[in-house]
Amino acid sequence: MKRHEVFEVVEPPPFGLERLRARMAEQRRAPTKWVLAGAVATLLLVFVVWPRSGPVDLVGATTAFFVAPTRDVSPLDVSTGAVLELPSSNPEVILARVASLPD
Amino acid sequence: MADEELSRSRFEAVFVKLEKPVFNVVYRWLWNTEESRDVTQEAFMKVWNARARVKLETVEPLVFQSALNLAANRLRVRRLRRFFSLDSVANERDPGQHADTALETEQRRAKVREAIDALPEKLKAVVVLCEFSGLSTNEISQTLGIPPGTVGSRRHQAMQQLETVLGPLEDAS
Repeated sequence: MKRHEVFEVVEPPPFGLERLRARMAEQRRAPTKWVLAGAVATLLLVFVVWPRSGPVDLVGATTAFFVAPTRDVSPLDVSTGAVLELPSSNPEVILARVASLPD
Repeated sequence: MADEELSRSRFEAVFVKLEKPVFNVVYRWLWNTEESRDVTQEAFMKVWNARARVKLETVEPLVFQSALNLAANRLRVRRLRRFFSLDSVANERDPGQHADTALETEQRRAKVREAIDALPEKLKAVVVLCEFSGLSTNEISQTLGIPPGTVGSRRHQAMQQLETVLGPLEDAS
Protein backbone atom coordinates (compact mmCIF):
# COMPACT_ATOMS: atom_id res chain seq x y z
CA MET A 1 0.00 0.00 0.00
CA LYS A 2 1.19 3.51 -0.75
CA ARG A 3 2.11 5.69 2.17
CA HIS A 4 -0.07 8.58 0.98
CA GLU A 5 -3.01 6.20 0.85
CA VAL A 6 -2.53 5.31 4.49
CA PHE A 7 -2.03 8.93 5.54
CA GLU A 8 -4.48 10.44 3.12
CA VAL A 9 -4.99 14.16 3.72
CA VAL A 10 -8.67 14.97 4.27
CA GLU A 11 -9.95 18.46 3.51
CA PRO A 12 -11.73 20.15 6.43
CA PRO A 13 -15.20 21.57 5.72
CA PRO A 14 -15.15 25.11 4.26
CA PHE A 15 -15.55 28.39 6.16
CA GLY A 16 -13.51 27.27 9.14
CA LEU A 17 -12.02 30.71 9.71
CA GLU A 18 -15.41 32.43 9.48
CA ARG A 19 -16.78 30.00 12.01
CA LEU A 20 -13.87 30.63 14.35
CA ARG A 21 -14.27 34.40 13.99
CA ALA A 22 -17.95 34.09 14.84
CA ARG A 23 -17.12 32.12 17.97
CA MET A 24 -14.50 34.64 19.00
CA ALA A 25 -16.94 37.52 18.46
CA GLU A 26 -19.57 35.69 20.49
CA GLN A 27 -17.10 35.39 23.36
CA ARG A 28 -16.39 39.09 23.25
CA ARG A 29 -20.04 39.73 24.06
CA ALA A 30 -20.01 37.09 26.76
CA PRO A 31 -18.82 39.38 29.63
CA THR A 32 -22.16 41.24 29.49
CA LYS A 33 -23.89 37.95 30.18
CA TRP A 34 -21.57 37.28 33.12
CA VAL A 35 -22.17 40.72 34.59
CA LEU A 36 -25.93 40.16 34.35
CA ALA A 37 -25.63 36.72 35.88
CA GLY A 38 -23.55 38.16 38.71
CA ALA A 39 -26.10 40.87 39.41
CA VAL A 40 -28.94 38.35 39.50
CA ALA A 41 -26.95 36.09 41.81
CA THR A 42 -26.21 39.00 44.17
CA LEU A 43 -29.88 39.99 44.27
CA LEU A 44 -30.84 36.41 45.00
CA LEU A 45 -28.28 36.28 47.79
CA VAL A 46 -29.55 39.50 49.35
CA PHE A 47 -33.27 38.75 49.16
CA VAL A 48 -33.52 35.01 49.40
CA VAL A 49 -30.45 33.43 50.90
CA TRP A 50 -29.42 36.16 53.32
CA PRO A 51 -30.33 35.05 56.87
CA ARG A 52 -33.24 37.02 58.25
CA SER A 53 -35.04 37.03 61.56
CA GLY A 54 -38.49 35.48 61.70
CA PRO A 55 -41.42 37.27 60.08
CA VAL A 56 -43.27 39.95 61.98
CA ASP A 57 -46.39 38.52 63.57
CA LEU A 58 -48.99 40.98 62.39
CA VAL A 59 -51.84 38.56 62.80
CA GLY A 60 -50.91 37.90 66.41
CA ALA A 61 -50.58 41.57 67.22
CA THR A 62 -53.91 42.40 65.59
CA THR A 63 -55.70 39.55 67.32
CA ALA A 64 -54.30 40.63 70.70
CA PHE A 65 -55.49 44.14 70.07
CA PHE A 66 -59.07 43.14 69.34
CA VAL A 67 -59.28 40.40 71.93
CA ALA A 68 -57.94 42.59 74.73
CA PRO A 69 -60.69 43.53 77.26
CA THR A 70 -59.77 47.18 77.13
CA ARG A 71 -58.12 48.54 74.08
CA ASP A 72 -55.36 50.92 74.71
CA VAL A 73 -55.08 53.52 72.00
CA SER A 74 -51.32 53.68 72.34
CA PRO A 75 -49.60 50.83 70.53
CA LEU A 76 -46.10 51.86 71.42
CA ASP A 77 -45.39 48.85 73.59
CA VAL A 78 -45.97 46.41 70.76
CA SER A 79 -42.57 45.08 69.71
CA THR A 80 -43.31 42.88 66.73
CA GLY A 81 -46.13 44.81 65.12
CA ALA A 82 -48.16 47.89 65.81
CA VAL A 83 -51.91 48.32 65.85
CA LEU A 84 -53.26 51.83 66.21
CA GLU A 85 -56.89 52.57 66.70
CA LEU A 86 -58.08 55.43 64.56
CA PRO A 87 -60.98 57.74 65.45
CA SER A 88 -64.30 56.53 64.09
CA SER A 89 -67.57 58.50 63.92
CA ASN A 90 -69.60 55.29 64.10
CA PRO A 91 -69.32 53.49 67.45
CA GLU A 92 -70.23 50.24 65.70
CA VAL A 93 -67.15 50.50 63.54
CA ILE A 94 -63.61 50.18 64.79
CA LEU A 95 -60.90 51.51 62.54
CA ALA A 96 -57.39 50.22 63.14
CA ARG A 97 -54.12 50.79 61.38
CA VAL A 98 -51.77 47.81 61.35
CA ALA A 99 -48.08 48.19 60.62
CA SER A 100 -44.95 46.13 60.96
CA LEU A 101 -41.94 47.47 62.76
CA PRO A 102 -38.43 46.99 61.51
CA ASP A 103 -36.22 44.72 63.66
CA MET B 1 -6.89 47.28 21.89
CA ALA B 2 -4.25 47.43 19.15
CA ASP B 3 -2.39 44.63 20.93
CA GLU B 4 -5.49 42.50 21.07
CA GLU B 5 -6.18 43.07 17.40
CA LEU B 6 -2.58 42.11 16.65
CA SER B 7 -2.77 38.91 18.63
CA ARG B 8 -6.13 38.19 17.06
CA SER B 9 -4.72 38.51 13.58
CA ARG B 10 -1.72 36.39 14.55
CA PHE B 11 -4.01 33.79 15.99
CA GLU B 12 -6.07 33.77 12.82
CA ALA B 13 -2.88 33.27 10.85
CA VAL B 14 -2.05 30.29 13.06
CA PHE B 15 -5.52 28.93 12.41
CA VAL B 16 -5.14 29.28 8.65
CA LYS B 17 -1.83 27.45 8.85
CA LEU B 18 -2.93 24.70 11.23
CA GLU B 19 -6.58 24.10 10.50
CA LYS B 20 -5.97 21.31 8.02
CA PRO B 21 -3.21 19.52 10.00
CA VAL B 22 -5.20 19.69 13.24
CA PHE B 23 -8.34 18.54 11.46
CA ASN B 24 -6.47 15.57 9.98
CA VAL B 25 -5.05 14.58 13.36
CA VAL B 26 -8.47 14.77 15.00
CA TYR B 27 -10.05 12.94 12.08
CA ARG B 28 -7.87 9.89 12.85
CA TRP B 29 -9.57 9.75 16.24
CA LEU B 30 -13.14 10.41 15.28
CA TRP B 31 -13.39 9.47 11.57
CA ASN B 32 -16.19 11.94 11.17
CA THR B 33 -15.90 15.22 9.29
CA GLU B 34 -18.40 17.27 11.26
CA GLU B 35 -17.19 16.14 14.65
CA SER B 36 -13.56 16.64 13.66
CA ARG B 37 -14.36 20.16 12.48
CA ASP B 38 -16.08 20.92 15.81
CA VAL B 39 -13.19 19.54 17.87
CA THR B 40 -10.68 21.48 15.76
CA GLN B 41 -12.60 24.70 16.40
CA GLU B 42 -12.91 23.90 20.08
CA ALA B 43 -9.18 23.29 20.38
CA PHE B 44 -8.41 26.68 18.87
CA MET B 45 -10.96 28.36 21.11
CA LYS B 46 -9.38 26.79 24.18
CA VAL B 47 -6.01 28.21 23.24
CA TRP B 48 -7.57 31.56 22.38
CA ASN B 49 -9.24 31.72 25.77
CA ALA B 50 -5.93 31.02 27.47
CA ARG B 51 -4.03 33.52 25.27
CA ALA B 52 -2.96 35.63 28.24
CA ARG B 53 -0.86 32.71 29.47
CA VAL B 54 0.28 31.41 26.08
CA LYS B 55 3.58 32.29 24.49
CA LEU B 56 3.48 32.72 20.75
CA GLU B 57 6.19 30.12 20.17
CA THR B 58 4.23 27.45 22.03
CA VAL B 59 0.89 28.08 20.35
CA GLU B 60 1.26 25.36 17.74
CA PRO B 61 2.11 22.44 20.07
CA LEU B 62 -0.58 23.70 22.42
CA VAL B 63 -3.26 23.62 19.75
CA PHE B 64 -2.35 20.03 18.88
CA GLN B 65 -2.24 19.05 22.54
CA SER B 66 -5.63 20.56 23.13
CA ALA B 67 -7.05 18.92 20.00
CA LEU B 68 -5.72 15.50 21.01
CA ASN B 69 -7.23 15.78 24.49
CA LEU B 70 -10.57 16.91 23.16
CA ALA B 71 -10.65 14.19 20.51
CA ALA B 72 -9.79 11.50 23.06
CA ASN B 73 -12.50 12.81 25.39
CA ARG B 74 -15.02 12.90 22.57
CA LEU B 75 -14.16 9.32 21.68
CA ARG B 76 -14.61 8.22 25.29
CA VAL B 77 -18.03 9.86 25.44
CA ARG B 78 -18.97 8.21 22.17
CA ARG B 79 -17.93 4.79 23.48
CA LEU B 80 -19.94 5.36 26.64
CA ARG B 81 -22.97 6.41 24.62
CA ARG B 82 -22.59 3.34 22.46
CA PHE B 83 -22.27 1.20 25.57
CA PHE B 84 -25.57 2.57 26.82
CA SER B 85 -26.98 2.25 23.29
CA LEU B 86 -27.59 5.98 22.94
CA ASP B 87 -25.56 6.07 19.74
CA SER B 88 -25.63 3.60 16.95
CA VAL B 89 -22.37 2.38 15.49
CA ALA B 90 -23.48 3.70 12.13
CA ASN B 91 -23.25 7.28 13.45
CA GLU B 92 -19.51 6.96 13.50
CA ARG B 93 -19.36 6.63 9.78
CA ASP B 94 -19.32 9.72 7.68
CA PRO B 95 -21.85 9.06 4.94
CA GLY B 96 -20.96 12.08 2.79
CA GLN B 97 -17.30 11.30 2.83
CA HIS B 98 -17.32 8.05 0.91
CA ALA B 99 -20.55 8.28 -1.01
CA ASP B 100 -19.16 8.42 -4.54
CA THR B 101 -15.87 6.65 -4.06
CA ALA B 102 -15.23 3.33 -5.67
CA LEU B 103 -15.73 0.20 -3.63
CA GLU B 104 -12.04 -0.57 -3.73
CA THR B 105 -11.11 2.81 -2.30
CA GLU B 106 -13.73 2.42 0.35
CA GLN B 107 -12.42 -0.97 1.34
CA ARG B 108 -8.87 0.36 1.47
CA ARG B 109 -9.95 3.26 3.67
CA ALA B 110 -11.79 0.91 5.97
CA LYS B 111 -8.70 -1.24 6.28
CA VAL B 112 -6.49 1.77 7.00
CA ARG B 113 -8.95 3.00 9.58
CA GLU B 114 -9.03 -0.37 11.26
CA ALA B 115 -5.23 -0.52 11.34
CA ILE B 116 -4.87 2.99 12.78
CA ASP B 117 -7.62 2.38 15.33
CA ALA B 118 -5.88 -0.80 16.42
CA LEU B 119 -2.78 1.15 17.45
CA PRO B 120 -2.39 1.87 21.15
CA GLU B 121 -3.26 5.52 21.78
CA LYS B 122 0.33 6.47 22.63
CA LEU B 123 1.65 5.14 19.35
CA LYS B 124 -1.25 6.52 17.38
CA ALA B 125 -0.70 10.03 18.75
CA VAL B 126 2.94 9.97 17.73
CA VAL B 127 2.48 8.57 14.24
CA VAL B 128 -0.49 10.80 13.44
CA LEU B 129 1.32 13.91 14.67
CA CYS B 130 4.44 12.93 12.71
CA GLU B 131 2.46 12.44 9.52
CA PHE B 132 0.03 15.36 9.66
CA SER B 133 1.09 18.08 12.09
CA GLY B 134 4.20 19.41 10.41
CA LEU B 135 5.69 19.78 13.90
CA SER B 136 9.32 18.95 14.53
CA THR B 137 10.28 16.00 16.72
CA ASN B 138 11.02 18.41 19.56
CA GLU B 139 7.65 20.07 19.20
CA ILE B 140 5.91 16.70 19.13
CA SER B 141 7.77 15.69 22.27
CA GLN B 142 6.62 18.96 23.85
CA THR B 143 3.04 18.36 22.71
CA LEU B 144 2.92 14.87 24.16
CA GLY B 145 5.15 15.50 27.15
CA ILE B 146 7.62 12.76 26.23
CA PRO B 147 11.34 12.85 25.42
CA PRO B 148 12.29 13.33 21.74
CA GLY B 149 13.90 9.87 21.68
CA THR B 150 10.59 8.32 22.70
CA VAL B 151 8.89 10.08 19.80
CA GLY B 152 11.28 8.31 17.43
CA SER B 153 10.90 4.89 18.99
CA ARG B 154 7.11 5.10 19.22
CA ARG B 155 6.89 6.21 15.62
CA HIS B 156 9.01 3.26 14.55
CA GLN B 157 6.85 0.89 16.59
CA ALA B 158 3.65 2.34 15.15
CA MET B 159 4.89 2.03 11.58
CA GLN B 160 5.88 -1.57 12.20
CA GLN B 161 2.42 -2.38 13.52
CA LEU B 162 0.77 -0.66 10.57
CA GLU B 163 2.96 -2.54 8.10
CA THR B 164 2.09 -5.81 9.78
CA VAL B 165 -1.56 -5.18 8.99
CA LEU B 166 -1.35 -3.23 5.73
CA GLY B 167 1.81 -4.61 4.21
CA PRO B 168 4.96 -2.63 3.42
CA LEU B 169 4.28 1.07 2.89
CA GLU B 170 5.75 2.44 -0.31
CA ASP B 171 6.63 6.08 -0.69
CA ALA B 172 4.92 7.74 -3.66
CA SER B 173 7.29 8.12 -6.61
